[in-house]
Amino acid sequence: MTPSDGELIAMVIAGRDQRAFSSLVARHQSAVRAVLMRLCRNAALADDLAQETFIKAYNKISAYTGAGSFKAWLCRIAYTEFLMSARKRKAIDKTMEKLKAQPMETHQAPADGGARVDLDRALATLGEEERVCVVLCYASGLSHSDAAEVTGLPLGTVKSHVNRGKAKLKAWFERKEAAA
Amino acid sequence: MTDDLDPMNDDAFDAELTAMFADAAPPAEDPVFVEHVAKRLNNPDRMRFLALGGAGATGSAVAGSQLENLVGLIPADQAHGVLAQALGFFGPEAIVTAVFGLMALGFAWVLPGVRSYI
Repeated sequence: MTPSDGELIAMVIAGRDQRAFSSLVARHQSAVRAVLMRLCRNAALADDLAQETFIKAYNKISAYTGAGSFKAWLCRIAYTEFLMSARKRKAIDKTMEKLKAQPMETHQAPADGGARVDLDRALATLGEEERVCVVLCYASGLSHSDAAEVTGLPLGTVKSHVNRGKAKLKAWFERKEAAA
Repeated sequence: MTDDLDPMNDDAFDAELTAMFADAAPPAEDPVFVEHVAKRLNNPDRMRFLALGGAGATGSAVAGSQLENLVGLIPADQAHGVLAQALGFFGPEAIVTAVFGLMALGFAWVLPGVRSYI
């Protein structure tokens, strides 16, 4: 029988059980990395931050109270890591601005990553909070409530950001399709 | 995203968007990534190690150099108790060496290692 997150966490807290923690990493790495990849738009940086997220989670695991889901707790650490990294790396914002400025008609998407590039371009057109809320809900599958806890925004605001962001993304993809 | 959704907005684009995010996500199983994290858990934080070790060594050197002067200033015939016995038996250099050793042990205790990181 596969142990639950709670059981694995208890094993880590009780005996600093690295195998139990590795199981948690294996279980949640995809969600955490997915969020960071869509926020950073740089796979190498996202993986570095994801590793840092799990190291911090391991060292502070006793601070996890079990109030929300463990995935949401990890996403909150990941989001904090992203914010800290973004402060250090103003270049990311410059890159975002450049990508926003590029007209999509001239975009030649690579054959193997076209959809991913399109998604990242579309996400770049959203406002910062809209993008974060959409990414948290769609990339890691968090509920609106979890996303509100991760970002510290009120639940209603998160819902508005997600709905507005989704509408903008829909319009972006429709424009792209019409232009093709 | 499983709750809080307005059914009216849960349209075809929602499913399309979910699929796009799923396609762009890293694989659900990635043993290499898990192994990288496990390796980092085994290794102490090198920067912290260097910073604390450097600060400790510098502090010990400064304190030790002053201590040697201080101990050397005390005439053996005017010292009392344990210090007098130690001075007579070991000499100032040996006492300073012992103090250095205790300081090094103290820093080794607070530096990240097996006890605090695993």
